[in-house]
Amino acid sequence: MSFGWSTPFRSLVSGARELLGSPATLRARGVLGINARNARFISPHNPRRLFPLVDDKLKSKALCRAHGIPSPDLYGVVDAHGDLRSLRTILEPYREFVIKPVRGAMGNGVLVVMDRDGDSWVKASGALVDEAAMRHYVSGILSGLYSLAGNTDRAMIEYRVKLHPTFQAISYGGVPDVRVIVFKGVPALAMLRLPTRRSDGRANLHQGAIAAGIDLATGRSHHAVQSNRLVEIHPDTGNRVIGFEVPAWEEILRIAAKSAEMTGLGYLGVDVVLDAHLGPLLLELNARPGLAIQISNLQGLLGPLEMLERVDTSRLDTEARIDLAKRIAAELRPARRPFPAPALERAG
Amino acid sequence: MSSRLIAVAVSFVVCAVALIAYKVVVLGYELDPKPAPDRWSIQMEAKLVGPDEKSRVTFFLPADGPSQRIYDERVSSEGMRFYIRPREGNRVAVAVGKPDDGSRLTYRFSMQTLPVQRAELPRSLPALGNAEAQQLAELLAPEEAIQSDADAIQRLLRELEVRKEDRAEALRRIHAFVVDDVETTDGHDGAQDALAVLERERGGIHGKARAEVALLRAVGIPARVVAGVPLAERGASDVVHWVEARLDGRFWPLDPTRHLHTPWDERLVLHVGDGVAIDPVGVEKASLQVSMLREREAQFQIYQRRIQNSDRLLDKLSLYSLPVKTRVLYQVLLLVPLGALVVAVFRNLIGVPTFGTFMPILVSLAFRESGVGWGLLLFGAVVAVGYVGRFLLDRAKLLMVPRLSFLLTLVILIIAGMMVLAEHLGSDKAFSIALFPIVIITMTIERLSIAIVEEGPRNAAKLVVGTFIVALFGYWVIASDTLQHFVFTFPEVHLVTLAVLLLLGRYTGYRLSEWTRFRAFRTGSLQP
Repeated sequence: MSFGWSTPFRSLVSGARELLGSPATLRARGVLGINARNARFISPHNPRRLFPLVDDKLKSKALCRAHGIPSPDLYGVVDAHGDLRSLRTILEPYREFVIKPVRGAMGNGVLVVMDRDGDSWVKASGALVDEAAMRHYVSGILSGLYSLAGNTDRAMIEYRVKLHPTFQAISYGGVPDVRVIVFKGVPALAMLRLPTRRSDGRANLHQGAIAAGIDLATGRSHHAVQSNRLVEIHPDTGNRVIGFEVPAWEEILRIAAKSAEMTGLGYLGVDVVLDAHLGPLLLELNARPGLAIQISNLQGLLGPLEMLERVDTSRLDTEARIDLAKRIAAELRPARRPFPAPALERAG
Repeated sequence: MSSRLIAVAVSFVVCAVALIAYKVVVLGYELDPKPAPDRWSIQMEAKLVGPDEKSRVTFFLPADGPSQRIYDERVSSEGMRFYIRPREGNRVAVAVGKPDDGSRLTYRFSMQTLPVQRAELPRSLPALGNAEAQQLAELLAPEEAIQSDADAIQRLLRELEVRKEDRAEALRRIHAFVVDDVETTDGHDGAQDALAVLERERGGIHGKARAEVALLRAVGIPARVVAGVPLAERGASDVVHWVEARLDGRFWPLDPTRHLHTPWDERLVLHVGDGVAIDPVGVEKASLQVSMLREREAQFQIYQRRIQNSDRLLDKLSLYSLPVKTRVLYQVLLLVPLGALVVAVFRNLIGVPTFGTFMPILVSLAFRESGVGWGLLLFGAVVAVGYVGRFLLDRAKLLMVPRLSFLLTLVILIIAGMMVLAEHLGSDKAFSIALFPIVIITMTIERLSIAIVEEGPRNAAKLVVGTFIVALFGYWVIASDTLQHFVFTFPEVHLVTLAVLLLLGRYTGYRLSEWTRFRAFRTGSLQP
């Protein structure tokens, strides 16, 4: 095993392991830890200068347009407090929309407006928002309440994604999204995040959304987790969340694979939503995607990542990369062992 | 990990070890210097309550003597005129003026205790010769509170069968009687003159000392009362009294609460002869408090002197050549890398979440300034205000910057309130919060309120707890005197810090926290 640490630490950590139980189980199951993610995958594959492309949602959106990747339509941007006066003019043409911070993270600060009622707007919860409250909300975004480092921010207004009918049975309140981890342009692991009553209709795992692991090869959910507990049925709708087939799976994989290409980031989290009318849309990119996806799949990331580390994917086109992703997924699926080699040799 | 990196790390460690070994073996530096055993920093503080227009406070100051040497005296008299006068072989401080209520007279000094030969009391000694008695008449005469000529005393001596012919035996009997048969009280049980104490057969330590002196004088042994303070490693102490009996040409100290064979502890002598430690005229109440600290600094001074006079290159390059003011700063600054190491270990090996990267070190530095107790209290208050503020101010819908400023104002008011409270509770440990901890507090409240909004109250609470845990460990490192001295004497030890950080930086194994986070992979499945 090549751990990448030196002897004193190895003895230190092996000491800690003996204390804690059977040695090296996490490693044997291919679990990726934060240290390894940062040192082995993010720092060598994600140049820092490219981070603004994904941290700034307007930049990502512009990139998407340039590369023909579908994403929700941009209705307008509020740059500064001075622009707040024209907020009504910007919002005038639309009955429904989403307002969010340009540099927000984890779905914080997102306001979903479902309809208009006279001079007010109707939130997803049914509550009314008048113009003063709306201005105050946008002003909060502008002063950096939701931005990554607390710096001043901008607010963007975009198309509200409509719930795809297939998802109606297994989501509550909001719109589910698919997170795909893409390494060197090849999807490595995917999960479907389903909003629940507990997560307040948001697809946020910390707040209690369901995370269902998706088999990359088939687009079918095979395992699901809510707050670190195994679930089989959606607690609010009572329908099974395992064995569910995500519609337009091929298209979702294509968007994921192409996003990596367009940003130049080697290790990327791609969030895709499925719109009832427009199909899959790229919602957000993340240059430091979290590791919870491993729990929702009960499969480590190291398996696919280490296989891909040894493959030169730069000359493969999108379709070939998707094909490789499916073969690796199929290879790792039955045995759930991290190091089978055949798929790799076929690819190489 | 590349072998080159390991080679660099190892060479760092080797360099450090070699330098330290050279300094210790060749230059004779000490790895862990023992504190100089005979040096103390002592502070006497008189707190004046309810002074008049014109107050005059007199208290005894220690003087050079056979067992002590006083130096480096400093006085702060808060605007009163302060002078030192000799009085009957002692020194007294006189402060005259119009002090404020609750103002403090502070007298600080350093002391070196001198070795005193202790010997066994002679088996027997004949009565004092006339010539000698003439010479020591003062130590034999009755005083106001030491009524050695009273009939009651003579009666008691007869009862105890004390004979004047053998002074050593007489002293043993008298001392045994005072220790065993006169009950020791806190000194508030009535008059404390010799006669009253002997009549009641109980009294405070001062009264017992007077009683013993009276008995000794009555049998013709010159004796006197001595006031002073037992020396401790650190801490505060009240003034105590004991007896000195003159036998065989020298003074024998006798503690009226302890038997003769008890070993004598080191004491600071404040004054000899019977007298009250502090005499406030025109002041409602005055209390005298003596606090002390064994000086570690003395060892630094010894180093400094040796190194300043040395011609060797390494001595000239050492941090001891810095001016004292800068030195104090660097003593702390040089510990910060160790604090950073603590943070790195906690975050990358254990996986404790914290506010920012170096926030925990800043908090430990703040703790160092304010003390852990006050520090925790303060930061606890800050966290409470942060949470309450979030729920209250959320309704008010304030903008970010005014909201933070609002919270900050609240915190400052709370600190001011705590200071006032501490003053009224009469906390002796001065509650001094410097500007620096306040800066850290403002940063904490900013981080906290952002975290509460961005990551939710529960995750923010995790961050708070994590930050505090790491800060406490950091404090443990940063506040350590031994480490401070070691790192200052051997700054090359930071080559080891660098080496450890290099290796830590390339550690790609799991964090301890991931052991539980991914427990599903260890057991094979999740619990439903």
